[in-house]
Amino acid sequence: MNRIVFAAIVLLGTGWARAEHFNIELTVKGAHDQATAHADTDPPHEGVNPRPLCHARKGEELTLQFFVGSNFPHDTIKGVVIHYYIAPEKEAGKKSPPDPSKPAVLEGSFKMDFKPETGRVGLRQRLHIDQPGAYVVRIESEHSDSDHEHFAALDLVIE
Amino acid sequence: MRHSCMTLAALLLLLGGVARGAGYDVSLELSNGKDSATATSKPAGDGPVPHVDPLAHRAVLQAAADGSFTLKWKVTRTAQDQAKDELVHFYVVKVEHQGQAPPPLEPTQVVLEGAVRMDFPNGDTATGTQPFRLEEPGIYLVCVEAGGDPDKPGTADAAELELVAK
Repeated sequence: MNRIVFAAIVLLGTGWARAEHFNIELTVKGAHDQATAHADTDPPHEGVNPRPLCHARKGEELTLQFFVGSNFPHDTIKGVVIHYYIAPEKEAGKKSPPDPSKPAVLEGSFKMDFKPETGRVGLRQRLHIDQPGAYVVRIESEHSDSDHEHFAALDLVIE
Repeated sequence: MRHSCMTLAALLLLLGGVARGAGYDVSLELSNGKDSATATSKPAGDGPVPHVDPLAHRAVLQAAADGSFTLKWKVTRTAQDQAKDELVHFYVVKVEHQGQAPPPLEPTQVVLEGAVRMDFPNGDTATGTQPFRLEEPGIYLVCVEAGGDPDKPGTADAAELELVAK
């Protein structure tokens, strides 16, 4: 039955109840700590919510998990890009942008349509980070046919 | 639990060679930046589709286990009707040997797993680009499935290949 557990979560959703175009739940979990961030709006680029913080040790197994769902009541939003990344930043707790001089640890994307209420995407991934430092973990919508985009972000400190 | 997993695995073995047809073209590419392997859910061309046992004909990417990998996939609706609230499911899971049927997705063996739910009118597509690294050498099954019934293995259109990481 484990073959379909994650898919079933995406099918059924996670019971969000927020009045935004997209609901987002982003979680990073380590051996001893975890943090979860929810949907914020861009602009401003770094949003209005503080970033949750997760601590882990270098080389420790981490789990990245996110779900993005449409809460837009009117129509299908077509060709939306969902972009996600883990990238070095200067300092945790300051809403720092990614450091452009350092490559992302992880960067991926989806392109899909989001149907009202039932359109969803989810991902769960195991990873580790070998370099100590501060990292921003962010997932964001792009090209969602709106005057603003949605994202969720948190800080990850590798010691 | 063990019994149900074995039953599911047996079903997958039995159904592995059965022709699939949920109305999608599924393609995937796995690359480590130097080498790559590709797989599709059906042979190219407009002629009759020959019977292919996907378990016996998986493409293989051989690579160093400490590298970075990128899975790129694309699902396109080929059937004329619009499919509603369909599921695209993809995963990278460690397996014991090449040619093994898709196993139960135990969290300790799954490197990456994701799913997309959307409506698919004819010609509509969904795509994904998912980078990942491995924790250890081994044989990994990389699979993308579209449509079908999540409770009924073998009913989705699927493309799959194997990563042999040393």
